[in-house]
Amino acid sequence: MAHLRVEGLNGYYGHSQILWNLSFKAEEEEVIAIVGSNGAGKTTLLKALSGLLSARSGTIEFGGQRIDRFPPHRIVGLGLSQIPEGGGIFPFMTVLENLKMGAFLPSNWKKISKNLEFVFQLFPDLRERKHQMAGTLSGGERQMLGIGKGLMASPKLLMMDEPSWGLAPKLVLRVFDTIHEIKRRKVTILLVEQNVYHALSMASRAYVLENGRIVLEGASEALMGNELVQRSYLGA
Amino acid sequence: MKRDLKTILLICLFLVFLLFPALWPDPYLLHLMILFFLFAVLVSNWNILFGYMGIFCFGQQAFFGIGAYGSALFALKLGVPIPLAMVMGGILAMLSSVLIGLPSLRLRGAYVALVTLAFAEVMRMICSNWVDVTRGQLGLTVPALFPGAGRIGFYYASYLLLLISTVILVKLMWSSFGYVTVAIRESQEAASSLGIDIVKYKILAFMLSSFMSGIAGAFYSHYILILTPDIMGLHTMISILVMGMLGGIGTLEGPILGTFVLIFLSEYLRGFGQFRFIVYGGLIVLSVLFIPGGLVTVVRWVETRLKEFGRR
Amino acid sequence: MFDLDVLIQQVVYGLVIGSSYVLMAAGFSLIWGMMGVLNLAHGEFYMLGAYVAYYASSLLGFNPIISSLAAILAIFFFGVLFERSLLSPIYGKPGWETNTVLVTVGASIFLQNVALVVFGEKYKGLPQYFEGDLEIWKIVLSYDRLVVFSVGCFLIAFLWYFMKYTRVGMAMRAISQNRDGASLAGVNVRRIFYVAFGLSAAFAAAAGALLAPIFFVYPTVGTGPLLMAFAIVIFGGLGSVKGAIYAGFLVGVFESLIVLIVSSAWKDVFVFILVIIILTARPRGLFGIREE
Repeated sequence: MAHLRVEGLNGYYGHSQILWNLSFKAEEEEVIAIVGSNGAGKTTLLKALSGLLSARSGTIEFGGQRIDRFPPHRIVGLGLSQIPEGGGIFPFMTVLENLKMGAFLPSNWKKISKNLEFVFQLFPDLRERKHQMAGTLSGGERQMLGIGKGLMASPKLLMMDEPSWGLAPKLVLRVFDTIHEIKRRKVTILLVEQNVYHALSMASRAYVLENGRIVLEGASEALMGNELVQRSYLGA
Repeated sequence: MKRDLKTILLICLFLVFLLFPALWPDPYLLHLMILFFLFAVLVSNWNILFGYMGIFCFGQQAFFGIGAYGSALFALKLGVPIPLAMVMGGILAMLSSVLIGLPSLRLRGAYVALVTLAFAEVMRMICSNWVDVTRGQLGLTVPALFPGAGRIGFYYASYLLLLISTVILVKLMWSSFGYVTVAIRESQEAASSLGIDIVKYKILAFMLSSFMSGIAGAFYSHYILILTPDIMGLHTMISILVMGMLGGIGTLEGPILGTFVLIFLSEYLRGFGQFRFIVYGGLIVLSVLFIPGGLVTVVRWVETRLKEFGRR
Repeated sequence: MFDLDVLIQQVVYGLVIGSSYVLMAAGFSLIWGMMGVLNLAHGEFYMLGAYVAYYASSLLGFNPIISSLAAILAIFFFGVLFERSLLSPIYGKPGWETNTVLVTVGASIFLQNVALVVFGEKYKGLPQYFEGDLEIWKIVLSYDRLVVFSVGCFLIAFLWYFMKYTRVGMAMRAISQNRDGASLAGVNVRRIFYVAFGLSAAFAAAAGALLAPIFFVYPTVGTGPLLMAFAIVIFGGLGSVKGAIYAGFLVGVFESLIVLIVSSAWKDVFVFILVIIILTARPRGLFGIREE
């Protein structure tokens, strides 16, 4: 049974259709990527999976359970978390408050200290800036905070929207190390990326999203070598 | 096919209103129709700001009141002939819109609501307290536009005003101005990034809206013949809001339809005695819950049904 | 020009009325900042709170503090009911920003007139509960007013603590700053909405209940406080409860001082002018975090 399985997903903003009949899956403990350029529909897809897009049809199954009609907080409760673009953080709350909010669900609130320890180990910088306003953090720190906040929810499957976007190369490596570490903890990861090279280095399998449709799928090495991918995304 | 049907309907309406005094000469009915015409002008012009441009103008009642008092005072104190006084009232209202509109140029959403409301309240309190000039709550007696001619003269004068106002608004909304106003409502940033001078359009909208509302107010004062500052009060604003929204803001027919329904509904509810406003409030709530787009959506629904029926 | 004692006396009165203004404004700001809803029926929560307190005092003989508590509880649940039946169905759907205005206007008309029919149009007054005045250094404060101030400050402190340290309070702040981020953290946004609304109504009711023995109680008593709340919220900055607190006290004191110079008929004018000036200088108010 796939950890996450999507079948025939259509998504709309008002009357315009953004997502067209998407089908894909992620197995447990896999790291898969969905790549596409700007406007391909990546963020809309993640919204749909997290229950934030009301206008959609198709089935979404998580751990064998149909979640397509569930409200966002219930989906998080089942273990499907998302770190949206920018981290989904609260600029006028402190780093510590942001992390605490990540553990909002009662089941997570009990494990707060444990999860906090884990996050601070992963990101010592955050521990230093515990009481700093999140809005005053640098781009990289904000991304770390976003990831930390996402981890506070003890996710079983973590979806990340462009985690390396706008980061200096050194920080991008930090992000990837973090993803490895999360993977080590047996969390399934769904990476959504514009930077195809990054994505294919991290993931074992990937889907290519273009104009709201999946146009290509396969193992990362295969895709790296694919002519279309090379031309359009890798600038070859 | 649809356009023909709609044009026929509009022509029918035009004729019905034209022949109304002959068909139903009841003076009270005529009074209600006059109120309908004048308020329809007021609400339609408010709608340009609120419904079309998304400017939360909560001060429209001030334009109405300033036009009313201005015209009355010009005629009374300066001996200006009434038609000229009315135009001057409108201009006075337009000038006041500079004061009211100016702060709203930089602000958004409900901030504008507060500022426009505050200005309107300030104007009202000035009117109320400047007893030497306006006689405040005691009431200002106003010379009549058509002395001794009964209601019929006024009926046609206010009907004409509504027609003129509607024609102006239709022409405006179908011009480039119309597109710009909708663009501004949808996204001010996007509109200005396209090079649209937002400030200029807002000012123009305020000037037109306030001028016509002032004229409507001037008509009202020379009709009702007694003015108190209450006409510039919150009740008027609430009425405008309800009439506009119930009819359907962001459309041209909506405010007119809403005004008509509300004026006659208000009358009808008199029969409920002390429960009158309870029912009124309840109906407003129910209409928002069940007809959120306003009565205009009901009309459009009927239109589409008829179209389908016509095809078969 | 003025006796220092007179000035300080007015400042004290201003702080007393200011505490009630804060209660009105804080709830209004919370809902507006968090949900983007302009609740024009907010004054009616004040009015209902005042009536609850009135009847609790005159029929059941409760003291003002207990009456206020009764009002807070009763109107909290009323507020929750209000949100779930009137706002929830239209929220988020197209045109909701203006539809919520209209639905609250309709509710306001409805509630005012129900009160008119049920309670009558007569202005109801409560006798002074606590006799006597507190006198310090020539400043006189009736015990009734002292109760208003202390209970008011207690409630404000409670609100501050609630927003800063409790889980639900943090969720409310989070929603105001990043609603999707809050949803993704597992916050049941719809539920927080109605809890917040109930809270906002309860605080308005508290203001009404506390002031019932000092001012009269009548069906339209809520309109003035609504306008004040509106002005104060904008002055303090939309969505900022902290701003509402500062602005509420400032406006209360300002209003009390202005009556020394102009007649009380004009005091509202000057409050509005003050707010307009502040807005031209700072379009977001004192501590505004949202532009609208």
